Amino acid sequence: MTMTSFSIADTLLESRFFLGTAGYPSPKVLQDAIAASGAAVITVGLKRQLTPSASGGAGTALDNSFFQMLKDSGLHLLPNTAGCKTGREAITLAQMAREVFGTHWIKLEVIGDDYTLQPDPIELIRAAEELVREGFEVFPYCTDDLVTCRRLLDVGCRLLMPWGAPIGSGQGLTNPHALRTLRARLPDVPLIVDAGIGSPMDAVQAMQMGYDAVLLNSAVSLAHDPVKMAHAFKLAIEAGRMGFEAGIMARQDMAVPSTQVTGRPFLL
Amino acid sequence: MSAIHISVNGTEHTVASACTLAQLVTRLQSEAGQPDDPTTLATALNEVFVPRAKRDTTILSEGDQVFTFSPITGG
Repeated sequence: MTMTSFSIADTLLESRFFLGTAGYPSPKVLQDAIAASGAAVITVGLKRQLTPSASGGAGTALDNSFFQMLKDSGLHLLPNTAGCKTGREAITLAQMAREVFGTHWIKLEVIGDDYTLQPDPIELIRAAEELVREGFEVFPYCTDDLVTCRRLLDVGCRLLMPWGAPIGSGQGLTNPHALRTLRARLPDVPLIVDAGIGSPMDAVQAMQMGYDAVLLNSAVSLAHDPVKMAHAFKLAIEAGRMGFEAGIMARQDMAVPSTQVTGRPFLL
Repeated sequence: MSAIHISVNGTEHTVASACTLAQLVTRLQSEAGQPDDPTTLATALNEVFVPRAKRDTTILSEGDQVFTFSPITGG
């Protein structure tokens, strides 16, 4: 049984796993992890610097050959606006990303707090509105606040990427209630849990809630064996989704016997 | 030929007056020993994006702030 493919931003994807490319021990490990993940979408970034000449560990430049490999891989590149603190900055960075990466997809990040990397909802909505007007497909990194999410939809976002927990924290889904509420109130909007995922169990939880996809980076890149962890997440995301589609039984407060019995087996 | 002073990614540079952004990019890549490939970076002038097609007609002025952005890994 194969997992059902899904459509997002007018694009049919065969995988519900969005994988980040930062912080791997080497380009080779990153390449192998991407392959093991089966991800159809990978995130990339832009940095203020001249053309890179070398690539390597965390947050590093993509050398030309590796960058070309990514562009030729058939994977969908999702550039981010990491580090931006104003909508204006994020818009400029998005325009640059569209030119360099050749895609109108943008993971819109506008950070409002340095310690939690929590998105600034006001700047985020302003930037999203402008970028949608300029023809971008905006993937907004947002919190799990329902009303902010609605405002993002109002300005033209067609999908949302609420956080599970602060970026890179690996805390998992810290507010399952809010995420369940979002799913329930926005049943027809593609929802991707982005950030905070620490273990495959967290991905299962998100997928079982009915989230459409999961985006993560550090949980794979910081694992002792990133390639194996990428595969583990692939399986977890598939299992969680399949469980959701199959329909999870209702919880009961008391035991309900699985085996039919009539009275007591023995009368002593 | 007179010269003007600009900053590139926060570092001071002196270039010939009437230097275009395209010429600056070529020069920077050459100085860094990198291939002359204008597609590997994006440019901004005074915090405003300048598309690749407009670098040829963008003439730098005294005090301009140029930023170049290149692809990196990201989450």
